[in-house]
Amino acid sequence: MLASTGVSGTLGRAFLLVGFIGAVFGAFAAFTGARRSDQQVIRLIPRFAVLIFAASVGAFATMEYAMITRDFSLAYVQKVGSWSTPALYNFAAVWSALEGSILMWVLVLAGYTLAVAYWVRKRMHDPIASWAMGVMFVVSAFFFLVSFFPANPFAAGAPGVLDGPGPNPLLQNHVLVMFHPPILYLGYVGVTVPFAFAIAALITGRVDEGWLVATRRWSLFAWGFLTFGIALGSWWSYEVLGWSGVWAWDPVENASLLPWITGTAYIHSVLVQERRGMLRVWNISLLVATFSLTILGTFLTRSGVLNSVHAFSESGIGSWFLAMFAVVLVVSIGLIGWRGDRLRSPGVIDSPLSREAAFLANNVLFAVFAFVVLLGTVFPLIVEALQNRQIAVGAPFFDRLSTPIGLALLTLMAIAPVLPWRKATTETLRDRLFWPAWCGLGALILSLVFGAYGLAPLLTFALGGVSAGAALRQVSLATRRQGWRGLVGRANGGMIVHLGVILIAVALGASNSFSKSQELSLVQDVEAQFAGHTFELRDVVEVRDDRSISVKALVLVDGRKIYAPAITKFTRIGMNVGTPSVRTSLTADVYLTLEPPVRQDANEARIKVFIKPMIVWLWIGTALMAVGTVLAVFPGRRRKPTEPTSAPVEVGRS
Amino acid sequence: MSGSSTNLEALKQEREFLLRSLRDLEQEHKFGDLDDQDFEALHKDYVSRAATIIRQIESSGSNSSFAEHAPESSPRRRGRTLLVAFMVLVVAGLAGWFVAQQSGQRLAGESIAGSIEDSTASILSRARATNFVDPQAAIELYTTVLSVDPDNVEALTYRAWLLALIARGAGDEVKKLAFESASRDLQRAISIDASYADAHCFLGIARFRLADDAQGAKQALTICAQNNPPAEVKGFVDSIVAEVDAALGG
Repeated sequence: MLASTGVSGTLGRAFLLVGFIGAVFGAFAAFTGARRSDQQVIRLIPRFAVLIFAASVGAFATMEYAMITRDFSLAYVQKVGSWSTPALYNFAAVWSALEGSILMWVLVLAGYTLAVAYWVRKRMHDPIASWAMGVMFVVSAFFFLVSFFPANPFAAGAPGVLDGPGPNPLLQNHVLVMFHPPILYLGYVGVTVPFAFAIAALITGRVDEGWLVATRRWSLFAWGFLTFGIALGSWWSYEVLGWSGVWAWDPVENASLLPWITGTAYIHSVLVQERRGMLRVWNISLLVATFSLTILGTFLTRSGVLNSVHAFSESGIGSWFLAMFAVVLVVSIGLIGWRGDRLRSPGVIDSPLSREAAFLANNVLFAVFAFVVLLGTVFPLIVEALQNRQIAVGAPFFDRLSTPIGLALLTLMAIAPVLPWRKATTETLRDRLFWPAWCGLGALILSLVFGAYGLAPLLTFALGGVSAGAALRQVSLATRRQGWRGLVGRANGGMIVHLGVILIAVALGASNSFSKSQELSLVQDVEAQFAGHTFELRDVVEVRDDRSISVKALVLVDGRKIYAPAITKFTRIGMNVGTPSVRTSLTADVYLTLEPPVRQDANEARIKVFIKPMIVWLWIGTALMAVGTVLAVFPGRRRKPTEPTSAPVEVGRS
Repeated sequence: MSGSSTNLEALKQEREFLLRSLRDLEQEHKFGDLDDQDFEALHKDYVSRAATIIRQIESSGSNSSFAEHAPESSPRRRGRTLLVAFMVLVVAGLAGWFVAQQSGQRLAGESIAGSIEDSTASILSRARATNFVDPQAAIELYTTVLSVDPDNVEALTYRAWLLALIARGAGDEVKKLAFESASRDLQRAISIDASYADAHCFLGIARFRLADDAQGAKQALTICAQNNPPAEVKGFVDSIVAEVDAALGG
C-alpha cells in the first residue's frame, strides 16, 4: 500500500504537468507561427519558454526541498535519501538515481530552451528560428512526459518509512559527484540546440551555411561541456574506484564518448562547409547522429539493459527512449532525403594535399572510431537478443582498435593545421612542417633517453611532438600578427585545444604502457620496496561515523609523507568501498589501495601499489582543452570564413 | 517545388559558389597560400566549370523542360559511390569479425563491455567460479593475479592444478612438461605457506597421475591430510589414496 505523497509530491507533479503542457503549446505556437508567419502567435514562443523553465525549476527545487527535509513520503527519497547523508551528498542525491537524473535533464533542457528563445528573441519571425524553437519544445515535452510517467520522481513511497539507505556509496565518496553529472548533462543536452537548428534548416530548405555559422558557438559550448564532463568522469574513476585507471570502456562511458566523437567530427567538418560549401549532408548527419547517440546513451544507461558501474536500476523508460531514438532517426533521415537536391554540395576537393582533404580524412577516422565503439558496446546486446547468449567484449578490443585510430588522428593533427585550403605544394608543406618535425624528433629522443620503448608509445610521443609543434607554430604566428588576440577565436583557441589533446594522448600513452603494479604484504614498521619506492606500514586505524566504518592503513611512502588508503563499509547498504590514496607528481603518481580482508587490530595490511607515469598531464591537458574551448568560443579578430588562411587580419574587425 | 526549379536553384548555387571560389583563389594566390602552378590549374578548372554551369542556366531559360538538362550522375561519380560503399562494408565486416573474436562469456556481475581492473581478491573469486567451467579462462585469471602478486599461494596452487588437469589426457611429452611446470608452482606455494593444504594435496595427485611417482605422492598426500584440506579437495584426495597405496603395495 502506498501512502499519499504530501505537498512535495503533488507540487512536483503539478510543475511537471505545467511544464509538459507549456512545451506542447510552445511547440504548437512555434510550428503554427512559422507556417503561417503569424506574428501574434510567434510572440508567444518566448513566454512558453519562460513557462517551461519556471516549471522545471519548480519541480527541481521541490525535489531538492523534499530531499533536504527528508520527506520520506516520496519513493525516490526513500530510495536515495538518508538522515545520515552529509548535506553536500544529500544535495547531489537528487541526481544520483534514474528519476532524479531525468529531472535534472528536464531542468537543463528547459534552461537551454529559454536561452535559445532569448538569443533569437529579435529574430523570432525568421522561420528557421521558430522551427528550431518548435523542435526544442518537442524534445522538452518528451522529457517532461518521461519524468511525469515512467520516471516519476514524485511517486508515493511505502507508508511508515522514516529513513533510507542514502545514495550509492560510490556517490558519497568524492566531491566530484557535484560536478561530473551536471556538466556532462550540459554537454549532452546542449547538443539539442544545433540539432534543432539543423532540423529547422531542413524543414525551411535553407540548408546553406547560415544556420551553421549561427549555431557555431552553441555547438562549441555543448562539445566543451561534454569534453569536460567526460574528463571529470575519468578523474572520478581514478580518485574513487580504486583501480588506478581513468577509462574502462564501460558501456556507459562509451555512451558518453560516442556523441563526443561525432561532435568532434562535426566541429571539424563544419569548417569545410563554411569555407568550401562541401559536406552539407555529412554535417547534418553528424548532428543527427550526435543527438541520436545522446538518446541511445540514455537508453543504455537507464533502461537496465546492461551491467555497469554507472547503470541505474531496471526501469520502464527503455521503450520510451527507443521510440524517441527511432522517431529522431526516421524524421531526420526523411528530411535529409526530402532535401537531397538542396544538400548537394557545389564544391569538390581540389587536391588530397589540402586542409579540406585532411578534415575529410579526420572525419572518416572519427566515423570509424564511433563505429568501433558503438559495435563493441552493443554487440553483446545484439548477440543476447538473437542467440540468448551472454557475452562480453573486453577492454582489449577497444584498446587494440583505438590505438591505431588515435595514432592516425595524431598524424592528421600534426599536418592539418599547416595545410592551406584548396591545394598545397610539397614545398609549402616542407617549409611549414620544418619546426614541427624537429619538435617530433626532440620528443622521440627525449622519450628514448627517459627509457621509453615499444612502437605505439614511441609513435605517440613523436607524433605528439610534431602535432604540438604544428599547433604552437599556428599560435605563434597568430599572436605575432594580432598580439594577445591571437589566442582567441575558433582557429587559435582550437590550437590550444589541440595542445590539450596532445598532452592527454602522451599521458595516456605513458600511463598505459609503463605503469607498474604490485601487491605488498606490509608488516607494521617493516619497510618494503617496489619500483624504487619504499613503503612502511605505520598503523591501521578505524574511523566510525553514523553512516560508515572506515579502516585506513597509514603508509609512509619514501620515508617522507604518510598516505592513507582505506576501505569504508557503508553500514546501511552493507557495501565496501575502497578509497585510494595518491601521491601526485609531474613525473609519476604513486597510487595506493588497501586490499581486503583487513582488520584494524592487525599489525599488517595488504597494499596494492600502482606507479602511474605522467598521469597528472591528463588533468593538465583537460584544463588546457577547457581553456582552449573558452578561447575558441570568444570571437577572435578572425577572417571571414572565405578568406585565405594567410590573409592579414584587418584592424578593428571583430 | 518542381524538379526543374530545384535543379535550376542548385545550378545557381553552384554558379555562386564557383564565382566566389574564383575570388578566393585569387586572394589565396596573392597571399602565398597557392603557388603559381597550382593557381593556374585551379583557376582554369573553376573557370571551365563555371562556364559549363552558366551555359546550363542560360539554356534553361529557353527550354521549358529544364529537367532534361539537369546534371546526371557521371559514371565516375557512381564508381566513387560504389568504392565508398565497398570500403564501408569491408571496414564493417572486419570490425564485426574482430569484435566476435574478442568477445567472451559474460560472468555474473560483469559489464557487457570494457573492464575495470579488479583487486586480486575479486579476480580470485571469479577464477574460483570458473575453475571447472572454463579452466583455460581460470588459468588466465590466476596468471593475472600472479602478475601483480607473484607470491599469491592460491593462484600458484590452482593454476598448477588446472594445468595438471588439462594435461592429464595429453601425450607423454606434454604431460611431462605440464608436471614440471605444475610441480614448480606447487613447490613454490608450499615454500611460501607450508600449512596450505591444497598445494600439498594437488602436488600428491600430480605426482601420481602425471609422473607415476607413488612414493612422492604418498608423502605429499600425508601432509595434505595433516593440514585439514577443504571438503571439495578432500574429495579428490580420498579417491586417489587407495590407488596410491595399491601402487606402493604392488
